[in-house]
Amino acid sequence: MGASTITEAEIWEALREVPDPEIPTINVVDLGIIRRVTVGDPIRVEMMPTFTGCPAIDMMRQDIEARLSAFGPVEVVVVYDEAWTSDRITAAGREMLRAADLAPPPHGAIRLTPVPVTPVACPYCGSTDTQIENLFGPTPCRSIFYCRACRQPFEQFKAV
Amino acid sequence: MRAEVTSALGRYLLTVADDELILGYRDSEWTGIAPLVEEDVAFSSLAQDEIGHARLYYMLAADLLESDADHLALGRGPDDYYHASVLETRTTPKYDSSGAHRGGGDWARAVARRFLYDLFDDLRTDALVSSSYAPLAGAVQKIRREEQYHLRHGAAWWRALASAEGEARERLEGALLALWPGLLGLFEDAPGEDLLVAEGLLSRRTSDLRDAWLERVQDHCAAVGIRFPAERTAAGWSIAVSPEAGGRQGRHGPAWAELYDEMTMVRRLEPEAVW
Repeated sequence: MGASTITEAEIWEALREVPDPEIPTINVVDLGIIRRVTVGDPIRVEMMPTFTGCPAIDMMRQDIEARLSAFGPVEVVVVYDEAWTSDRITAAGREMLRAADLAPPPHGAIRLTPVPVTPVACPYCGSTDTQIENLFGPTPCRSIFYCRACRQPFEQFKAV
Repeated sequence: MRAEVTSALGRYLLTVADDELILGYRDSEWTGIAPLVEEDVAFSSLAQDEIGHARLYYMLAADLLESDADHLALGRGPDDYYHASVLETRTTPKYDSSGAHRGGGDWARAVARRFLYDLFDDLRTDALVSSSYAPLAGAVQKIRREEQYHLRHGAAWWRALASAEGEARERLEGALLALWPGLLGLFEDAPGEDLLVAEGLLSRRTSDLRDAWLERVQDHCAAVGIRFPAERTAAGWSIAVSPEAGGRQGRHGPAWAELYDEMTMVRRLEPEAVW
């Protein structure tokens, strides 16, 4: 396949097949971490990390390179000059988080004090009778909650 | 950017990166032995965030200093680290190989150091977010979002220990007094900060952040009724102790040799290893 026949849309479509290594129900496009795709030689992909301390950054870069290698030489650039925010997760992506039993982050303008202002719905039973247990969780991007209705702890993808 | 500005910015970013790396390293030592299981998770996550921030600052510094981030993080000599020395002391207990407690360990000190450092770091990143160096301004914008969680965590523990009465409160008060000279050492300027301010790379020098920090700490002390170790007079703040300075020039305390040795051990064993 020559570079001239590749379209940017094809690259975006292929990127939708690259899962987040920690939350495989969501892909890198719906997670909102792909900022820009430039078709050329090489194909250039700009990726924004969700959290600066995210240990999956290098793995995601390798997974993207591997998926796109069929199209030709690929350069994945991790960019920090613009902050990824949880509002970059697409509507479909929020459903994909739910499929992994993660509550999606609260919607709306990114607040500088990320207090869960609206009640967080339990991803298991849907109840909003929930409480925050820990601002921090098993990965930098998650907080821990408890659902009083179904008595189940669950995690929320942090608003940031 | 002129060569002298580039090198001053690189040198300044090393002080910031070193602060974050060293505090992240020390706080990670609580993993597994924090007083609550939720705190194992939280302190580990805080430490991981800080080390991530350090990595980002090292990457920025590496571009300016024509070096590489891994070398800057772990390949420098012990006199070439510029963190404030208050961050390098151990707060975790020590155990011997049989598991017997050998002494030390102070959760209140860990909490106080982290929270009061984060209040400082919030002012410092605020002075960087409008930097005319776009890669730095963007990175700091990202870091500040993450740090909001740290501040909330720190404020909650500050209140919890102070309102617990008894030993918890005494330890928090003791920690504040013990850390005080070292905390004031956070406000030592890195060489070249005047130039960075003149060039618009930094909006305020590190030493210029001190008074705003004192205000904030005083408010947090007043809110829980803890004695604040400084007084405001008509002429400005009156502080009885001298700051423990020298960290920003590479001069550190007795805890540093041990920490440096441990932190760089793996890299020194296999300097060429690829991760």
